[in-house]
Amino acid sequence: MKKKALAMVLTAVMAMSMTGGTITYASGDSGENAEKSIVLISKSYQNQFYQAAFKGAQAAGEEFGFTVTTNGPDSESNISQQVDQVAAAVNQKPTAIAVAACDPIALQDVLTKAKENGIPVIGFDSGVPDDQSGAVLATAATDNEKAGAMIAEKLFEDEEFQTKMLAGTEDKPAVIGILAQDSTSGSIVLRVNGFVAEMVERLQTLEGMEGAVEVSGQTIWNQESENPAKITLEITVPPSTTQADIQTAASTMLNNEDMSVLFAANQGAVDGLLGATADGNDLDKENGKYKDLIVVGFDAGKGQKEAIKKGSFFGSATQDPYTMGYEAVRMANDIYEGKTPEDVDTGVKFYNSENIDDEDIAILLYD
Amino acid sequence: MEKTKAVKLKEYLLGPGLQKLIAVSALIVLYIFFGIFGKNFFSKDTLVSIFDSSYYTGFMAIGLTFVIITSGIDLSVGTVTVGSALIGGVAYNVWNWPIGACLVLIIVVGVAYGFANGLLIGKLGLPPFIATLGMQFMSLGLCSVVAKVQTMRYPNISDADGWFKVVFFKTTSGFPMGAIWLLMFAIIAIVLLNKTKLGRYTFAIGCNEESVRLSGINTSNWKVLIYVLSGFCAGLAGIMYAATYSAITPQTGNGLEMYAIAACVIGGTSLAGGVGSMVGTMIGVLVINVLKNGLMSMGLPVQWQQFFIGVVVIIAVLLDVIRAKQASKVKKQS
Repeated sequence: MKKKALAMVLTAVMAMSMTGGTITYASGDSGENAEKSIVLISKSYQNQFYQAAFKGAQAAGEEFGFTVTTNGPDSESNISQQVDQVAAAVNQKPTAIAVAACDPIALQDVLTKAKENGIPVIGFDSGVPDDQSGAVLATAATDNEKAGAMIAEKLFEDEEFQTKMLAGTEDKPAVIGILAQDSTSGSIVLRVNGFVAEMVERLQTLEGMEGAVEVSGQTIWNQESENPAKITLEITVPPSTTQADIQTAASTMLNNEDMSVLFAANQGAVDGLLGATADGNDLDKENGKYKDLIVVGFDAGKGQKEAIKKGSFFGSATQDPYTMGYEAVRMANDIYEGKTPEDVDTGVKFYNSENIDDEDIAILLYD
Repeated sequence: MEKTKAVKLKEYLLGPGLQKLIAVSALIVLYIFFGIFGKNFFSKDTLVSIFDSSYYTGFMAIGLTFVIITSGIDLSVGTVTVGSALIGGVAYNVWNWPIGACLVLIIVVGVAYGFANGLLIGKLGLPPFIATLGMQFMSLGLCSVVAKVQTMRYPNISDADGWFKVVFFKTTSGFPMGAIWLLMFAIIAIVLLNKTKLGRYTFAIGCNEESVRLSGINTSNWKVLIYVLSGFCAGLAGIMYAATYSAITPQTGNGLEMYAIAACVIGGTSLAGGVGSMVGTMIGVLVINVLKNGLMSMGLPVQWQQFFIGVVVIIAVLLDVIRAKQASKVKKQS
């Protein structure tokens, strides 16, 4: 009998909250509405990339007076966990929610609920592509096209690079190899677009190179030159994104003796390259097999960081999750103050053996 | 007379009643605790969210309660739940089946895995732990292969086949339809477990399988049936999972069975077999999901939820051990 009595009490408690729970609402509201709060939900909680984003969010939280709560699923494939987390965040009725969606479509229902409840949503990192709910007001993410262009610019400013390019002739053109993990992923395609466009434009300003730069290897990027080519940008895409295929593609590229520069466009490509060069030993500037090759990378990762430290890489560009987190909170503050938020390019930072240990760079580099 | 009545009550409270009493009190205490310390926890929205995340665990736990009472275990329910939903998704997205047929297929896949478990355990005499562990890996791998390791999608509420979400998940106005289904099946399961031959044999096999067999009952057939029931429930859980989350990722689902097992244990079902209650299991499911949503409403990351479920499981079993000791003392005294 006692059990039944308890069950009834419980039902009553639940029923009370079903009908609105007026008592607790009143006490909860006065405190919470005065306070600005934001919940950040990443693609995976433990990932260092997102931990850096959370740090940025905390910093902005202190600056703008926001209580920042962070969460995220165990892994990027745990979609259901993220759906639950976003739903719980909506229930908390924060000032805003910031999301990097594991699966944008799976989130549509809860985002619709956020919109119904008048809770603005901000995307960060990959954000919520093709959002149909209308809840997502703006996104803080890397502009990958600009990122690619920035790398091209950094390379071009290097004297050794220019010497190598000027050595190209009609019979023996100088080759810039580009290893792109795939030609369908939005971010990588945009990155290569940016790199190719900027590089072709800059190279043509070199003496005697006007109209002598061609792009080959992948139909979506191919460009023919007006005059016989003296410099070739050769793009290689492996048949699949497995480490084995990327590594084989990298080996094939390295066999081209005319290739003097190599751009590996993401961490997967860099890892493939390192695998093809005996963990980067063949790239060693002193006695490596490919010691004259100028290599630029992207993102971070343990192997890449080591290669940079040793000076085997010319440099790499890293995305800026810290700024993504910071901007997400700043945008939430804009919305709170009645301003309309706009998408923000959080930029990339170039790093090499000289600045890799600087505090503002080190925080962005994950293993 | 008075004395025996008091002893009887004492025996009940220290016996099967206690575990449920504790589970219910724990549920109330947790609910009130999070109401005070969580953000906006005492609200209709949060309560609906608690239900939302309960459906698939609830269905898995219903089937598991039968299995665990027979002193068996089904480690494959998590991967079968997600795997059957994944294959239903293949039927919907790749083979272009109508959604209704896909739902039937989900159940069929669940039942097929349950039947395979039943044959291995009931007929071939494999230990349940090993047979269902094997089936966990097999379903994890096979379902992903069928899906060509692609994420499968179910229609969202605004899509053409969105009625499926309205029926199994919630209406456009936010009424939790899934709770109706879970309640309905829980009641059916309570009747099955307490009022039918199936239920009586389930308990009997868990208490002493050998003597049940010697009394002329074909225990292996009943065991096959009980694992089929578990597979059927996993299939239902698959439908609820698809309705709740819309996107099914291949190679996931392992680990979900642990939440269902925890729910059974918290509700007083003994892993040693012979003891268990469906009402207790449902309370266990709610305890886990109140914890899950409550910790999130306090802004704590998901890992705390795992920690506290562990704490609750250990406390639940610890109390059960103490109860058993006390109960035998009472019996001796009377």
